[in-house]
Amino acid sequence: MSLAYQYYLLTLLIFFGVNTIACWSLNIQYGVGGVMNFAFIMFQSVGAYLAGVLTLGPSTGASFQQYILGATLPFPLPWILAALAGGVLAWFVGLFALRPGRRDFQAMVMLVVSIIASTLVLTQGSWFNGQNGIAAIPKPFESKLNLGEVQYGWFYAALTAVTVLAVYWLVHRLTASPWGRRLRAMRENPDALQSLGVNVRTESMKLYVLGGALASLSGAILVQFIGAWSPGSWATGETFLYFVAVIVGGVGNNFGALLGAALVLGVFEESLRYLPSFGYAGVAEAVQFMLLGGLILVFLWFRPQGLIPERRRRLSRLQPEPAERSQESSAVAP
Amino acid sequence: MNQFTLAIGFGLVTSAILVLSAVGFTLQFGVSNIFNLAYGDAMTLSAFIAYLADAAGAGIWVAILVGAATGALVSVLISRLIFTPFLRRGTSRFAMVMVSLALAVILQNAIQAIAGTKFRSYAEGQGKSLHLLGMILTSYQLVIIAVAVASMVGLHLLLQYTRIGKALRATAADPELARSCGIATDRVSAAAWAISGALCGLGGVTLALNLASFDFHFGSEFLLIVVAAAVFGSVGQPYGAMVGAVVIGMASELAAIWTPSLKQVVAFVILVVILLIRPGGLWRRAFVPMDVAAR
Repeated sequence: MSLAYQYYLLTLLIFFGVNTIACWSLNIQYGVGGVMNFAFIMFQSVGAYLAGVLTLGPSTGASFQQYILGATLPFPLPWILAALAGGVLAWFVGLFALRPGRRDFQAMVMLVVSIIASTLVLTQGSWFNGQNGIAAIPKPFESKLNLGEVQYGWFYAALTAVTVLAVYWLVHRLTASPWGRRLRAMRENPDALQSLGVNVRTESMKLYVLGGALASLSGAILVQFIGAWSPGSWATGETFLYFVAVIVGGVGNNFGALLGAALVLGVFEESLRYLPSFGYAGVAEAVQFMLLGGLILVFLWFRPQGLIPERRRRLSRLQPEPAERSQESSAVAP
Repeated sequence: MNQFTLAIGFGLVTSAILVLSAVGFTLQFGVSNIFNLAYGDAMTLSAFIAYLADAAGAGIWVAILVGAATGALVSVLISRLIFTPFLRRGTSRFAMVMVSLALAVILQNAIQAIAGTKFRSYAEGQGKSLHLLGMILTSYQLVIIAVAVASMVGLHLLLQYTRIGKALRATAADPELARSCGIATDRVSAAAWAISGALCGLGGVTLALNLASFDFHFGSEFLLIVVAAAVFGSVGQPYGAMVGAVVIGMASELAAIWTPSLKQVVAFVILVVILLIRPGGLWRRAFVPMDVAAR
């Protein structure tokens, strides 16, 4: 395989890994807990910006870009700090965005927050270099390893894969735990859960912080590979793309989210590269977005549970007399 | 010339546009219980159709009427062809937000694909500048304010003193109870979509008129402030939305005296503060049902 193809393949793999973590973050919030995080892309970019400036070194002012918080931290720290920052930001946004009683109200507030954040970054050029964004972000260990571009790419793909596995372990353990069950109950009927003595807002907040941290981590991985991040990378439409991926793949199912990341963010997006271009610049992209909009309407109409539906969970193991009650043991999930 | 009075003038115009848009948005929510994210793009579409009428030489008043009619038609079609079938199919309210978002994406990109990305302006331009009490307003900005005031007075009379208005308020408050009282909620909701759609169209045309030049996504950008005004005044409450629109419109223009780039941020700060004090929004008698399983 020629080097160019290898590089293309490993780029796809790394993007797939990043998108998978992003979709798990969204899936645990929206699919499992029912929190509609319409500010998703803001959390991803917080991670990206932070991982960027924490590796770029102090901003000198003489360079072509200016930013805050510049530092040169060794490898895992930028990712960890980015994830922490995503969690803290989620906590802060959650303080007011999770206050309205209805999930769709909350989603509207988060949408407003996301757009405002992008306005702020655009207008406050001294934060993250405004419109142009930050660039020339160093890759972890690149200077020490002394590898060729493709070989280093494989190393980074391996690094991404290890992170994806770690995140899967975390997400799987959490969704399979009693807390995961509580989240599904919250999604199905928050009022009933509240009446059982569970504070729905606290649970939503935990979920929001966890998802925010994972989204930031995905941004940090992405930015250290592509090396640049600007407001153009996180238009609000991107949040829509991730929602399409989770809904098409399967809401509430971790493998569904993975499949959605592969199909919608991988195959669908990539296939447009091979279509002949037509019309003026931008028409092809507009048509692509119309198709995505159509895709989500088709799925919500014909297969709202997605390609891999949520696993039906049986309660029989928890019930005292399985033999007598086997008729009644029913599934929790819809 | 005092900067403060100038800003009040601009604030009046922004508030007028925002009143039209936010009241339409909140009415749609009140009657359907759906956040219609395609609202901003319906505004854009109305402005473009009005542009066609205007470019054909119809004059600005006819163009405004064409815009209102377009908004009404588009809104009724969206509700009848998309929202109602999905609701009948038992789509959850989470998913309805995604349905409206998908519609918004389709509508905006369709406008872009057909009309292109270039900026357009109405043939009338900006009109003469007039000096009033220290404010400088163009004649078309006066038209915008007049349209907004007339629409709001008309809406108030409609809601308070006509059968359809009373039926509409009843339906918004409790659709099942309204139906059992003999109100044809189907027809009432169609009327509500038409009225709110007309306001949406008026909002789109007046916004485009005030912007001087517009492209395919000015409506969806403005939707953010519309949502902020509607949430501020408790979503579903037309009078709350009026208050929200005036507060946010005036505050953002006054804030522009010292930080022109942060107009939107002010709208956001106001929204955050009101949510912290009153999670349901400003309106005292807000009827905001909690999340129950899909209804």
